[in-house]
Amino acid sequence: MRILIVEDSSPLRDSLKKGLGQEGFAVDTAADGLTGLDLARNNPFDVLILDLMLPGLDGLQLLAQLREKLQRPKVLILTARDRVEDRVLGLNSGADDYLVKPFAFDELLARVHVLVRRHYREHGKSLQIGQLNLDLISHSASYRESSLELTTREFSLLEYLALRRGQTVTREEIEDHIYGVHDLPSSNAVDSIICLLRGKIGKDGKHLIRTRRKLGYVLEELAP
Amino acid sequence: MRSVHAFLIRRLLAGTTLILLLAVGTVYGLVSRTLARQFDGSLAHRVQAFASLLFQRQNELSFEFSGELMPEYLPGPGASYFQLWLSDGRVVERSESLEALDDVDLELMDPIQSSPNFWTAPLPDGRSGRFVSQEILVHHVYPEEGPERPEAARVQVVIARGREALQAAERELLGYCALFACGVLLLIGLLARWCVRHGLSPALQLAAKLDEIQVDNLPEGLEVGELPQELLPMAQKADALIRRAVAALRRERRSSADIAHELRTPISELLTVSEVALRRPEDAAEHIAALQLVRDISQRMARAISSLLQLSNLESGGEAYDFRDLELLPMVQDELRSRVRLCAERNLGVQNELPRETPIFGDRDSIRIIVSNLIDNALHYAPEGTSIECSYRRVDRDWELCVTNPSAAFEPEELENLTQPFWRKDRARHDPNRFGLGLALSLALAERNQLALSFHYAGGHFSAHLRGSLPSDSSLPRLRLLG
Repeated sequence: MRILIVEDSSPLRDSLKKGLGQEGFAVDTAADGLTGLDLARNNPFDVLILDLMLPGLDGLQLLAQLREKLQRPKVLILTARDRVEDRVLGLNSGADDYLVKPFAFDELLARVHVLVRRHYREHGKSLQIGQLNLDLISHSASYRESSLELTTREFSLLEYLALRRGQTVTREEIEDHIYGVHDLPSSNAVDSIICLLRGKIGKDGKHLIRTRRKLGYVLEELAP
Repeated sequence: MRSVHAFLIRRLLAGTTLILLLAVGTVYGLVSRTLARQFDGSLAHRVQAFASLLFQRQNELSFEFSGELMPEYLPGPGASYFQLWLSDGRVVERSESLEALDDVDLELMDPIQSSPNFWTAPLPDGRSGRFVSQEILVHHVYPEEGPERPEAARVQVVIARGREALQAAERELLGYCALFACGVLLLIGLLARWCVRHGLSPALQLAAKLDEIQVDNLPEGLEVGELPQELLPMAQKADALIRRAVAALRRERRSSADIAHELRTPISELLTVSEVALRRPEDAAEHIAALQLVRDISQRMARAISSLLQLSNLESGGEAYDFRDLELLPMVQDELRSRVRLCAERNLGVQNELPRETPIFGDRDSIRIIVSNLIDNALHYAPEGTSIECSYRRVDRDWELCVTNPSAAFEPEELENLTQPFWRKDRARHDPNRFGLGLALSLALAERNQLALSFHYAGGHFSAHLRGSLPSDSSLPRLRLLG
């Protein structure tokens, strides 16, 4: 899943990027409002973590301009402003969640997971597609009750396919959601990960993740 | 606690009582004197009546008195008395009431006069009495005129009458006066209470208005409606006080919010950096990088807290200062020299317009900090590629340092807030090492040095002005520099 952090404090920005990256998110960052708006408009982010007091363009202005274009990434405001009226204003401006600094990283992570699930209209903490089970909190997967040893990137790809199960997902969409702006994946990076995933799933791998020639991939429940 | 209400009523009643007592006393005295005069007048008339009853015929004196016509001279309770003497001392007549008492004579005043002479003394029966004495000339009835007419007899008359009626009238008068005084006092008391209550009601309304004001919800000003002119100054002062309090409270709240915000951000940084590092316990390199970051953030927090403490010490007035004659030019040159790198990085020019002689008076360390902050601010907030200007001018004993830089526009209220701790024109943190405390510190130091620090914005330029005066006993030469 892809996240944009717009935060002017560089230690906080870098640490969040590192922490969320370790959790399997593709993270991009911006230090000011204008850069953040530009990134948000031109990339399909799932979640936007937004500070309010930003140089260049205020967080609320950024949010308003983003919503004008009907772009709907889930937005979590992360700010030191703790007054009730600030929270109300932030949520009424189109934010989906509001977290006051200082905060615990685990809480931020939990809220980001909630926003991702809401983004894909999922309500549980795990996804079940036939015999395939994905725990979205612990980032673990199993098939036919056997645990799958997946890398962060492999889990991200499987999670994205699972969230869009039954739909054909193009390679570009996959790249957009599992890589950041500054990541430079090779041309067959997605195909390679799919191949690895199928191998780890086993003999059902090819049937579970099916290739739509010249279109992309689709994750489907196997017929019994 | 003194009550104006009770004070006014007490004073009004005391004053009114005094005036009333004087008035009633005077009236009582006058009426009582009139009564006494009338009483004496009736005694004098009795003497005249007696004179009309005395006749002299052929050297014989006759007194045609009838007890039936004048029963008051008969013995009995409340009896009056009279006694008549000839000039040789022989008694002519005594009242029956006197006869009834054994061998008692009325006292004859000496010398007796032809006009009535009054006095007060006990009556023969012991009652309090009023006496009148007068000498009456009793002429011969026949012949009425002529040389043969014998010499008139001189009869001395003393009449005494009990004073009970007079005393009763005086007592009655005194009672009426007292009753009147009490009634009037009661009315005045009620009237005074009503007047004072109504007179003070605007003050009570004002007090109620003030009492309604809550610290959590201070009004912008005091709405009191129409007030008597005596209370207007008080209401205006209260209004001004509330406005000052509101402004101060607003500044305090904003300052508290700013302090909280300034501390929240580095704490968030510390928490996130450490928590993210702890999620990868096996990564030593990442832990070291995180620790270095934690150290940097902590040092930045320490600097901010140190500045806050310094500001707090200055505001509490606990610092010692060494005031002396100083030269401003070397300080400005030092500060500019230490920022050559910053000027180069930001491509800034510096116009140092200070003359060779720049006398000022104050504490060296304080003024160095102020000058450093003013120059530092100008260099940080001037747009890249522009230049800042430092100038000094002196008129008589007054001097002024002015530091000017091109700037984005400032609203008047923004200029007022410049010296608030953590205040920033742009609320975002462009530079995490700048806390927004420099100007607050500078203002506090300027006040301790009895200097004036003010800020202005005009024509696209922001300027900071530090003003002071040289003391009259300064060793520096008095000179006058214009411009």
